[in-house]
Amino acid sequence: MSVSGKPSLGSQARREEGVAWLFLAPSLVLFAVFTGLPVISAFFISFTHWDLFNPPRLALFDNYIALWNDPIFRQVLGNTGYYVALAVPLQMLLGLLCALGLNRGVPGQGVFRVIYFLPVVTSTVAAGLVWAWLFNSNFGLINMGLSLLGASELPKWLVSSRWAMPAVIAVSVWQGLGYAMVLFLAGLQNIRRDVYEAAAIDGATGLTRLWYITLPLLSPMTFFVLIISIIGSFQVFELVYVMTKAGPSNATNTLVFFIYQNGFMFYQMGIASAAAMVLFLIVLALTLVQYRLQNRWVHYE
Amino acid sequence: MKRLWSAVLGLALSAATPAFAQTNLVFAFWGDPPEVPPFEKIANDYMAKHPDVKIELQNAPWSGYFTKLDAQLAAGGGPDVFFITNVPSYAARNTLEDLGPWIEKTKFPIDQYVKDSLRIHSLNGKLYSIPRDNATNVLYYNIDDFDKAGLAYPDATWTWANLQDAARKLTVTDGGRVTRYGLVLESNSWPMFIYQNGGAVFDDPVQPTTFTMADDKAVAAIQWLGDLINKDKSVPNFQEAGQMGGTASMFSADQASMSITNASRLGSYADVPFKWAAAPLPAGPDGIRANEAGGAGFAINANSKIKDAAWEFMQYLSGPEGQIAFTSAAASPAVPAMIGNDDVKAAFKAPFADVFLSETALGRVFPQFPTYVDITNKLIQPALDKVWNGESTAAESLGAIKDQANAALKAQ
Repeated sequence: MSVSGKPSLGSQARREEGVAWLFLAPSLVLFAVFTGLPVISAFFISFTHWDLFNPPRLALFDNYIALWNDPIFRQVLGNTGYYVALAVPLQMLLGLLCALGLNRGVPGQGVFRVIYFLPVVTSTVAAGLVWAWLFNSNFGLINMGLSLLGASELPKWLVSSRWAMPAVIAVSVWQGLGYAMVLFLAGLQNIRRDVYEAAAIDGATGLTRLWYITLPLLSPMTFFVLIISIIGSFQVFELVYVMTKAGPSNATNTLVFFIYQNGFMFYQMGIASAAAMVLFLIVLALTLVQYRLQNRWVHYE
Repeated sequence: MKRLWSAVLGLALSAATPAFAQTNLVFAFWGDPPEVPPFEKIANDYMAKHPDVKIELQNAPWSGYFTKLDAQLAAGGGPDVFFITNVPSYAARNTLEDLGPWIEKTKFPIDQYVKDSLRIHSLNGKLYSIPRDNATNVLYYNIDDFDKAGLAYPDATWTWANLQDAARKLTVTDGGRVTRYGLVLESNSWPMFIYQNGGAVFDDPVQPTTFTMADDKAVAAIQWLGDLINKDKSVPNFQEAGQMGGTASMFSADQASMSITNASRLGSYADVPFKWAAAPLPAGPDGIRANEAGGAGFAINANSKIKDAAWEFMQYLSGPEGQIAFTSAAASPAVPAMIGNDDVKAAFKAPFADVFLSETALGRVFPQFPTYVDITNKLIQPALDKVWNGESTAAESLGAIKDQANAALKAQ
């Protein structure tokens, strides 16, 4: 034992540490080259004017000021907030309900699990295109159904400022729900049987059991699902690109789409990088807040 | 061991190197498979005449072409000669070679091209690309649908009123939903309708100082299009039409009885199971006829290491030989750009060639300048979206962006 408090490593342990680094190296190198480096470059690019073709010029805070004054960027922030605020809770709630249902051991459980998980592994572009057809205000199956039910004023879905975002959210919930469900199922199956048995002896049944045992013991998984859902939702892009191209009139323009637009349509790499930094800060802040709050509701066994 | 390897390498190199010095020229273009044959023919014919040149063709579909090209150009590389649109933007980024000195040096017959259409291939009076074709639009109509509805076929006497009336009568509805539209339009052809109504998008399409789209004539044209979509419900919303496959699929599948689009659709419409024909575009309410001028063109990379060879090939590609190859292509005949050359004009034998040629003479240049991509995406398109979906009037929507658009023009 060393006095300093830090245990000194024996030669065996040191060798093992070397092997560990060796195994970690491929993923660390890839991370550094394809994630770390671009993130650092984006930080510096955000302080320049750069059109990709000519040398960058120093802009200091011009890009951040331009974003602050840009009404489209404000609309984009609002849209992204709207999307996250609806998509995340819906996806988690429905995922949890499906998981609870399947965890009761319904017949054909495996089949249902595949059905709910299928959208997760479906290509987003293909799914988005098919949903765009379903939402078509004239030829689409959804409005055909609504008109059969007797609706007279049919929503124009993807071309309507009011309905385009809810439609995109519905598709993303449909697509993300299976992933949340599988994670919740894993969490549920990790809860020890004997806790339930003890509760049964004490007379807990049904909802009481769900509220006082299942949900608290599931909370570490809920916390994990919450964090990855929020991060994923802030990065929504493909569905918007395929279904609405951010339209009508920017009604479905979200942060990542805005970054893409400025970078690769308007060739304003500075503005795009500055928006990416804003996105990074938002996600970082939200994640930190959640880590702070987790003591209040997450129970580790 | 080392010596053995260098011997093998030497052998391999000598086998790969031809006896004479060869120039490798990379030529990039977009196009779906039916559009590829004329490009291949031009490259092969050229290589047969110039055995010292090897042309490498890079073909990509329209959707991915520019992403790849931009990445290559940004890295300082890219093809030597390439097919291009949005020329002023690319020229402003210093990626294109100024063709003026080359044309002068070799006496290239540039005067056989429509002078006006060269404007969208220029920036500040310098020519950066040579147009391949004219994006001339015509009115395609489904003869069977017209016969069933008992309507007279479109002809040169038609005006907007005739078009609107026929579109209404050809539209089929079922329980409040349209099952067949009267007419389908291209999402980016709205400037043509503004011209037909006697208006303009900017005071000048290539060197603008004022945004004129909020003026009465332009507003009325946009409102008329919006009414076709939302009041008459005889034209699909552009975004939804695009997702249904646009003018190509909707007319072919008889989901629309008329379509206004260019000659590139002749290929898609060739095998449809109904009779169709093409007519001149209807005139505006005051009798003004107007069409879209100019099309995509060919440019030389400013970073090319072999500009002499590139210009040599350009002269063939954009000269009578290349123009004839494009204009006589079986699957996708292009309305020739070198309309002042009699051999080229005579080689254009597409169906309804006379309609295309007479309409080409009415061509007007669409807006095209470096900051247009910005103005159209940030201001015009969002304003139009609200007219197309019926949430706003053209006057309100275009009036709201007038000051911003003018400010953006001043800032350029």
